[in-house]
Amino acid sequence: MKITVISGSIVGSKTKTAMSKVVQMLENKYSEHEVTLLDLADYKVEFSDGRNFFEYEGDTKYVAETIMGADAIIIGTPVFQASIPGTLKNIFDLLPVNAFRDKVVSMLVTAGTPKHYLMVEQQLKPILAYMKAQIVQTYVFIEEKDFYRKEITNDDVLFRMERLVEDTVVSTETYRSIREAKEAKYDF
Amino acid sequence: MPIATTSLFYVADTTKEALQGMYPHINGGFQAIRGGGYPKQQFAQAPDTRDALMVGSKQQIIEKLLYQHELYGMQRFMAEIDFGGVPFEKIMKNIEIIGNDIIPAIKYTTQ
Repeated sequence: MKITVISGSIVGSKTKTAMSKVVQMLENKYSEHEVTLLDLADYKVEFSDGRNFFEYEGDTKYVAETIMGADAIIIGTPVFQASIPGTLKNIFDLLPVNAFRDKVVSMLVTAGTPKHYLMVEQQLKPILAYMKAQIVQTYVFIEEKDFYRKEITNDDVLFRMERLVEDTVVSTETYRSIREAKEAKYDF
Repeated sequence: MPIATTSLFYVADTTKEALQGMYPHINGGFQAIRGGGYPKQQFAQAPDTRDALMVGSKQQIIEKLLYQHELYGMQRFMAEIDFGGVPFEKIMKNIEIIGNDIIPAIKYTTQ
């Protein structure tokens, strides 16, 4: 199974800290799977201009193709101006409408305050649903107070992240077996 | 007004043969042009008269063309029979069925 972990911002450190931890958890518990971290701060991604995702070049092509090649995607996002960052929205805009068909997508949010805790429900989940993702319903919401010196210090948050990682992998395996059983019924 | 309809096209003696013959090509072709294959669930619905994709037995293709003729009154249908690298023998077989069975039936009914 190919799992892509996205750190969806080029600003700040909290999302990156959390997503690096997610990668570490995946590698410890599920070392048989191929895990790729896409920290958007490491790439220079162009704005979507309507091309097919594989027609871009360089970093843009790499980021889009890595996401399209994944079986499972764990998206980490901060909250900017009560929403996801434009950098993350641009990633969705680069991809085709059915980009997440047959993929499981789960979410982790970092935020300065709890004020926008429903942002995922109101903004991120509808985008993922439109793009045909199998969404892991429960997401992890991490606040400023859960971090200290670029480390997550709230044990409860770490447990929640472990559950998110486990739910993502288990859902991906389950949806794959459902799909295989369904496709085996067609005789072409 | 001159009207034409067009579609990817694959005909065989039976529905099953048509689906089996076309699927690897349409799936591979969509993978190449769009970066994602053709969903099997959607392809399984395609022989239905109301679906625009021309795949099925000769009888199903004839019915679909006549159904579209009833809706649009087109004078021409353009079949794309080589999408996704269909090999020569399969294309010849398609052309034979078009010439021997489909065109005579369509002409008989529409002229």
